[in-house]
Amino acid sequence: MSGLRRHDEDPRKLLIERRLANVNNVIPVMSPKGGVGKTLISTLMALAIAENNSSVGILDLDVTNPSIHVILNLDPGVKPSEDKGVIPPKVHGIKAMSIAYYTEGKPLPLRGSEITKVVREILAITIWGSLDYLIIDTPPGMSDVHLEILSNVGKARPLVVTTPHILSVYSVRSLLTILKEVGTPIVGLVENMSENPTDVVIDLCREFKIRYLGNVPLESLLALSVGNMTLMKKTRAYSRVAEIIKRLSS
Amino acid sequence: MAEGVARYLCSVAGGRKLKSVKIGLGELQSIDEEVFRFALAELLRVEGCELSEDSVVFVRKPAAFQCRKCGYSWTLNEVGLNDEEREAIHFIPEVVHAYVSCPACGSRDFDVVGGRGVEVVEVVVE
Repeated sequence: MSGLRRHDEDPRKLLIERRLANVNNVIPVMSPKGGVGKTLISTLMALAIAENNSSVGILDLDVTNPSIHVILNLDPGVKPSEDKGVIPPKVHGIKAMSIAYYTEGKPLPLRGSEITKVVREILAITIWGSLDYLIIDTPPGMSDVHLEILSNVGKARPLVVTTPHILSVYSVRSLLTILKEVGTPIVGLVENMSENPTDVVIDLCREFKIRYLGNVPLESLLALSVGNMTLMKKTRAYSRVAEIIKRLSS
Repeated sequence: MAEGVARYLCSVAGGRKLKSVKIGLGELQSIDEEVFRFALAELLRVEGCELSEDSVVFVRKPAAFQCRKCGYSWTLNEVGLNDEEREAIHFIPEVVHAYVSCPACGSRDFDVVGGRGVEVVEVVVE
């Protein structure tokens, strides 16, 4: 007979792969720089995938500053249902999961270790079922959320977003270096807020041997369309992202 | 949660028979002991790793907090939470920071020093 004390083990970690077993593509949208458009690109991707008659979920892991629910204009009364886990509601053809369902819009300041616990909890309790794509919106930086995804979601294939601005490109270089070091396959890079492809971004893709997926223009209509998916689908940004999705699926 | 615990216990057992387990239930997750006990037994059976229900011992862990700003320590009894808030915290215990702040200084920057969630305290295999 042997008694085993295991305070260090987290049972939730054993559930994460199971929860994602029937999700074909897990795409965390990443960029170390804030304000480059990760959340809008994530949402546009999910909309375009749904429009393409593929099944898609979106997971907002910007846990201290979630905003996907604002972009999608989620009804505050809509909550995930519970059946041996949490089942995200479907809105605009997208299964949407966010910590915002549980905070009632109140501020949620968290330390790093708590962010790790939240990410683990959400990944362990959310039942996605079968999906062609799960898009994960991540916060800026390269810290708890990103490392937790890379450590515990084996099938994650990040999509990196940058603007052509030199500071964004500089930061993205660090992210790509880290992803390459740990051998994480990268779906590709999107150049956001850019009317045309720029040499500095294309060169970066060549250097790291990743796909340049396309540029997405900056336009005022996109900002105005937050909360209005009909309007959002009329933006040039949506059209460009839809082209990127077709390219990804081909 | 019971599913994760069941998988974990089976991985620890590694084909041997489970004799007893002790599981900590944190106050923040508001787990119903009997529902959890039943679910765990069923899930263990599905995982092919049986354990009689009376061999599961639960240890209740009261929620405890300590402020990082002023150092004050308190428990849930000192703050009022309604049913909706308790349910939100049940799903993701860290959202307690949205509903609770330090009774002494008002800061939301506090540590949950006890009673967060479910943990496997002890496993005895034959």
